[in-house]
Amino acid sequence: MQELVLIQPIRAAEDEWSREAAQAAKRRDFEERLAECGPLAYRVARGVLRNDADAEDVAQEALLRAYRRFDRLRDAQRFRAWLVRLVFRLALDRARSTKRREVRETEWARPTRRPAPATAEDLAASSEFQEHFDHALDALPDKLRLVLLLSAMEGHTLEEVAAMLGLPVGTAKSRLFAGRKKLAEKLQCYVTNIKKR
Amino acid sequence: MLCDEYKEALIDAAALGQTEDELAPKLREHVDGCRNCRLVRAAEQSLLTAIEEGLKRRVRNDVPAGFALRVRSRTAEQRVTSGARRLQLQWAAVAAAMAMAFVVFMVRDSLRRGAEPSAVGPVAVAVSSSAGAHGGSLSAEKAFEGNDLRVSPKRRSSRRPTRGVVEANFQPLIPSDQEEIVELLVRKLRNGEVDGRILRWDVQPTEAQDWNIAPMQIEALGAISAESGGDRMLFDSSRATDRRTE
Repeated sequence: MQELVLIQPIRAAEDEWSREAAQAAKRRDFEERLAECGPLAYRVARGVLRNDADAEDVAQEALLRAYRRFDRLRDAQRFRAWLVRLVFRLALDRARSTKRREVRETEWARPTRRPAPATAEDLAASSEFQEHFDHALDALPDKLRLVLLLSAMEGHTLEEVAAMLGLPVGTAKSRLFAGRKKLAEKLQCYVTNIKKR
Repeated sequence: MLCDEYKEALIDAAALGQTEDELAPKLREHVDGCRNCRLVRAAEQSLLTAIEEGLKRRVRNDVPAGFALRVRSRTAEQRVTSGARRLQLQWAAVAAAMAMAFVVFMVRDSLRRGAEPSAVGPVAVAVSSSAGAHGGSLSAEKAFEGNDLRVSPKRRSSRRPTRGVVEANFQPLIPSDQEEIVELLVRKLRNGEVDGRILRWDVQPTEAQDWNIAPMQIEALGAISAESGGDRMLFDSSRATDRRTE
């Protein structure tokens, strides 16, 4: 007959077990949040950065920070809102540093101007329009840009966007409107081409 | 109203995604009757559609394969790192607690010594005697009559200088005729002029007779601080005496 001897004091062992159980629960909860919000984090980052590698890097960084603070962010709604704002902020930082680097390295290599597309559909799909659109979007104030990007994601109603950003629906709506209008104003030069169709 | 004045309203309507029915009645009436404004409205709507498409293109990208897996591996790394860090912190905390306990012990000990000299553990004064040459050495006995400490010379046959130790739970006493030399020795001890912490103090007893030692607190000589490193203090006057002789 064998006897098992518990060397660890019972109290310490219980503390250890409860800590491990809490860690396991934390991991489980985080897995759920990761499955739910991971794609959202990536898309927000991608929307700002327009670069897959940078977007993934930023999304991972944000999720890692979220994991560190997960004890305070167990609530799903709160977690999502916090994550979106964090990803957006990190992506903006990354975009600024990338832009500075690009300006420094490729100042001489300005893109050549291409001929205007013939139809509105072509225009919308053209790389020139997309390039101007990207510049116009990047130049928008951050608060307008984030609402525009989140609204453009499938399955997000205006109410959800407002909840994600912790804003009243009316504020989110007015930001959405202001963002679209500013973009339209910046891209007015294309209206002439469309009218010619 | 001129067409240009409607343009702003048409941009707003397109930005708001308003349908024909949702347009303001006055604007709708104008657009219905103005071919140019209909073209402008159509162009603005197309532009807004293109903008929406552009936005969707920006966020439509699928999450790369293995994204969740990579996040999991980074969080696992984070757990390992933070676990190691926690262990380091725990060890640091234990070390800090031990250091703190040591400091507290030392401070309390020194305070106790400073505040209550008589409460210090046995204070030993070694009274070394070359009295062997005189056929005697010293033994000590406590006399709790006042502050007197009676030290009786004791005859011994050994030539080797012996060392009598006076232990007392109170201030050690110095013979009055030895005050000067003890003071000198203690000063030398404190100044580091004498190696070690032992002073051997020769006592030249008179003929076998008991002699009373006049009470003199060693504190007056500064010996209390000199012996603060331990609870025993031995006076070895041989070197000091030699030096004095030098």
